[in-house]
Order: sequence, then structure tokens, then C-alpha cells
Amino acid sequence: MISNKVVEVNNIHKFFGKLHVLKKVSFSVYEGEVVVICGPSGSGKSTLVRCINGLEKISEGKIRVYNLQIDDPNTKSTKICKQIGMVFQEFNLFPHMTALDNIMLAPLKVKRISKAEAKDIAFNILKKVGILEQANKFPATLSGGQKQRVAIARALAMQPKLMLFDEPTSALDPEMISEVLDTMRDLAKEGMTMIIVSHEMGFAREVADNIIFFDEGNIIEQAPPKKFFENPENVRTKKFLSQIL
Amino acid sequence: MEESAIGLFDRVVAPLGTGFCYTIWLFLAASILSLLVGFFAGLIKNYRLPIIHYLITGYVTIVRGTPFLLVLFIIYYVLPFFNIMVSSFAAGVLALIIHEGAYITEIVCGGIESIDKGQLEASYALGLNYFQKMRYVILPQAIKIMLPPLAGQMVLLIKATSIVSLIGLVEVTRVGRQLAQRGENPFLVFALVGVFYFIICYPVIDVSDRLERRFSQKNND
Amino acid sequence: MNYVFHWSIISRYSDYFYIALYNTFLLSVISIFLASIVGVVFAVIKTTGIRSLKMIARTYVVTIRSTPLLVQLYFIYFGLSYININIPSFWCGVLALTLNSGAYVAEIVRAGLESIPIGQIEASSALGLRKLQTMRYIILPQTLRKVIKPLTGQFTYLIKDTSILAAIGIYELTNTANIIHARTFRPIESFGIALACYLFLNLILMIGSKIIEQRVSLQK
Repeated sequence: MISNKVVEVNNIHKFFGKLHVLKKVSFSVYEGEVVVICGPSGSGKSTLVRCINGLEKISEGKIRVYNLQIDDPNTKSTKICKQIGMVFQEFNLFPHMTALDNIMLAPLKVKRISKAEAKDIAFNILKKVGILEQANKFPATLSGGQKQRVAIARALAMQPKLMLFDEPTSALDPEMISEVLDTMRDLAKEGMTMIIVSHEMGFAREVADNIIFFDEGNIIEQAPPKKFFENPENVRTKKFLSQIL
Repeated sequence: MEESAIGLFDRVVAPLGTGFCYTIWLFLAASILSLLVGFFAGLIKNYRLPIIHYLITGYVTIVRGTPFLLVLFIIYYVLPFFNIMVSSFAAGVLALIIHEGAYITEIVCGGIESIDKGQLEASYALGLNYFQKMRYVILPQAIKIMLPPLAGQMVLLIKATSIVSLIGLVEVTRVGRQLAQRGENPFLVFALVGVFYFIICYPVIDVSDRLERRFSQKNND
Repeated sequence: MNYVFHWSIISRYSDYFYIALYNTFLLSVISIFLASIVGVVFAVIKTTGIRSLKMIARTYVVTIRSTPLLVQLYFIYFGLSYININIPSFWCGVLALTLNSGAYVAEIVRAGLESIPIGQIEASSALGLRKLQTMRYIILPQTLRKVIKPLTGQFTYLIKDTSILAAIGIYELTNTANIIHARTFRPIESFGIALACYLFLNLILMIGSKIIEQRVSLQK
């Protein structure tokens, strides 16, 4: 069975003013794959992921997600974001709304489904993610781990075909990281296509289908976990792994 | 002159009260309209449409550097040259809208831009369009931030209505001046005039100060 | 309607404009100077004074903030002449502007003083500095830095407030422009010049404030 190619990133460049942040980056992601992108701070990995759903615009190159050409200015961003969910390092929950309202907002207004249907979906996802009791609470009263799980639920409520994670556990206290990783692990088991920027190498080894080491705007090495950890080819990869592990 | 209490009321307090009615009308008309103008100008300024952004910024910069009395004179004396006759009340309202509108534009624009960029990113990632983003995410948060400075601006507005007396509108300050020129005790007259303004301004200032203190305490946690 | 610009008429009255600009400038500078003194005094009273003095200061500030400048001006102008104290209108104007701005300066300086973390004062007394030394070396320099921006804003208001002195006949910019327009029927040119002068004065204030900011800045 040949998997569909979900994401095709083709020779992209990104400049912030004079700073060359992404230098001729190319890679592909297939349906159901979990890709973890790791690397030192400032390497551009966050920017890479943010380009995939159009949050950042690339300076050169092509990005395709399913049948949508992301780099085409005529492609509507609403269309893109209905297919792609994104989870941020800083959660970015809406502080003036309850967890439930945070989750229901986009399905109600963007997909225009009925309130009953939206509530149904929201409750199901809250249950799946394990925070049903927090439904009517405001973000300020939630712990970091709970906030991030609400953020994941909020992205899932749109029933996307691809989920992007930008360092989802980096802003969490250590004891809350596992609850979020558990949620992500379950999601991967269900077959969600995921691109994750993360430093959690244990999680990567266990869950990822492909690991990309990213540094200074380039993909340095790309391999399945077994090869990546046991037999890395590139000198820089080896150095990075020795520092992290 | 007879100094009986009733006489004082007839001579001083009643005319001042009548004048104060003009003050209130002027304030209501100008405040509602300047808030509308300022709100939309602030939104447009925030949206950053190419040429219009610079026009609005230019308008705001020039008006904020100009005394209100000058703006008032310009409206009152220039419009007749273009065959538009305005009463002092109308000129007052118009001048207040133009002058206060500039400050409100800045308050609104500043309030919106103070919202964390992450809120914009999350709205984008969920597929919300501009109107949905503003209506459900940004504005509900921004309005809370805008309230103290907007309240302060309304206080400045009602104090500015006193200046409209200088083009002849018989609001409370002008009545006070007429009474003083007629020989009444100016300390009494202008203390009373002050009380009229005080009744409206002080509660707003007090509440606004409290709101601002509470907001900065929240930020310091 | 056709409006033909007659800038030449204005150059005929240029002397009046120069005097007006000078008057406005003088009023501004003197009032800024005096208001600063009044403001600092009341700010210190409000932060470290005796209870009864604090109440007087609070009443003063609240009254000024809750009433229009024009009313305060009339109170002083008509009041003084009622009790037969005759001072020139120029100084009446200065008094009104000083008392008015002084209250706002007091609030700004007070906020600046109160924003210095109490830990600084504790640390300095732990090091053995006396109260006055703490004031001079620790509190005042930091307050000065914090206070420059809001004070510049307040003094911008003051320059614009000088226009209100037109009500008592002082020949400042707005009044003069009005008088000349009435004589020449050229409101756009007259008021336009006044507008340009105000923007010019504000520019000077901005530049002065930036210079002071850089002088006291910690980032060299």
C-alpha cells in the first residue's frame, strides 16, 4: 500500500531581512507519518514548521500540503488552516474564554456547524485528551499541562489532516511534560500525520517514523529513529546527540 | 444687591444650570460621535492599509500637536468661506470630534496592538478571518485595556467643552464669565461652575484610577 | 467657493506673529519651570509628608484634575481683580498654567517615586546610607529617568494650553491669529501660521527631551 504524500517542501528559502533563516530546504511527509525535527536553538526549525501552514511566508520555493499550494498567494489561508492544526509553545489560548469555548470557536465560526454539533465534538475531544472536568474553566486557572492539552484539543476540533507542533513541551514544568506527550503519543497511534519540533528525544525515539536534525537553516541529517540514534552519519549530528543524551 | 438665598439662586445658580445643560448636550453629541470616529479610525490604522495608514497617522500627529482652541477657530471661521454656515454649537461638536477623535484613534490602535501576537497566530492557525478574529478574540481583550484611557479622554472632552465658550456658546463657563463681569462674586460663581464639572469628572477619574491600579497590579504578578 | 491665498498680507503682519510666538514661548518656558517646582514639592509631600499636608495636596490635585483650565483661569483672573489685587494678565496666565500643570507634574513625579522598588531603599539603608543620601544617589536619579517621557507629554499639553489665555486678552499665537484673521479675512493663512508655530514649538520640546533622555540614559 503506497501512502499519500501529505507535505512536499521543495527548495524553500526564508529571509528575515538580511538573515537567511531557511537555506534551500526540501523534505516530504507521508500520510500517517510522525516526523520529529530537532536541533539547536535558532536553527530555524520553528520557522520551518510555521511556513508549512503559511503563518510565515517563504521567500522562495514551493510548499504543497495535500492539493493546496501554500506558497501561492491565491490560496486562501482559511482553506489551508481547515486542513492543518497547529499547537504553539506558548499555548496561545484565548484567556477570556473557557476551555470549552476555546475549542468550539473555530468549528462554529469557520466550519459553521451547529452549536449542538460543536459541543458534541468538543466534549468528545476533551474526554479523549483527559480534561473533561476542565471544560468550563478559564485558562488562567489551568496548569501548564492542562493548557497545552486544551490547545491540542482546540486544534483537533477542526478535524485536520495534518498536525504541526512547535516545541509543545518547552514551556512546561518537567512534571507536566509527560501528560502532553501521552496525548501526542495516542494521537500518533490513531494515525494522525504529525510534524513535531521538539527536544524530547526519548519521545522521538519511541514515536517518530522519521527524525530530522536541523541546524543553521539546513537539514543536516534525516533518518528513522534506529539509524538516527545508533548510527548517525554526520559529525554535527553526533555532536548534538552527545550533548543531549 | 439683595443677598437672600432665593435671590442668589435666581441670579446665579439657575443661569449656571441652564448653561450646564448646553455643556451636557455638547458633551453627549461630541463623545458618542468622537468615540465612533476614533474607534473606526483606530481599527483602520491598525489594519495598515497602504496610503490610508499614513493619512490617519498624519491627521493624528497634526491634531495632537494643535491646541483645541485653534482647531475650534479654524472650524468656526474657515467653513463660512466655503459657504457652510455653522452655529457655535455645531462648530463645537465638529471641533471636538476632530480633536478628541485623534486621541481616541491612538488609544484604540494602541490597545489592539498591545494584545499578544500569539493570539493573532492562534486565530490564523484556526482559520478565523479578520472579522472573526477581531470580534471574538482581539477586541474583547483590547476593550478592557482601552477603558481607563478612554474614560480619561472623556474627562478631557468635557473639560474641553468649556473652551467652546470662546466662540460664543452659552454653556456653563460662559454664563459664569457673564455673571462675573456683571459684578457677582467671582469666587462664588466659578466655584459653582467648578462644582458642576466636578460632579461629572471626579467619579470618572476615581474609577479610572482604580481600574488602572488594578490592571497594573495584575501585570506585576 | 474660490479661496485665493494671499500670503503677502501675512508678511505685512509678521511683526505681530513674531511677538505672539515670543509670548507663547515665554509663557511656556516660565510655566514649565515653575510647574516643575510646584509639582516636585507636592509629589514629595504626597509620598513622605504629614497626614494633614497630604490631604491638602490630594485636594489640590483632585480639584485641578476635575475642573477645566479655563474655569481655573477665570477664578484667578476675576477673583484677583474682585479683591482689588491687580496683576498683569500675563502673570495671571502664568499662575493659572503653573497651578494647573503643577498638579499633573505632581502625579507623574509621585508615580515615578513610588515605582522605585522598596528593596532599593532597604539595600541602601543596609549599606549605611542616610535618608537624604538615599534620596540623592539612589531614588532621584532613577526617578528622573522614568519621569522624562511622561513629563514631556505633560509639557506638550502646557504649550497647547497657553492658547486658552486668549480668553483674558493675552497676545499669544491663537489669539493673535484670530485678531489678524478678523482684520484681513484670511483665516486659513492666519491660523495656518499659528498651527505651524505650535508644531515648531512642540518639535523643540521633543528635541530637548530626547537630548535629556540620552544624557541620563544607561545605555551608552
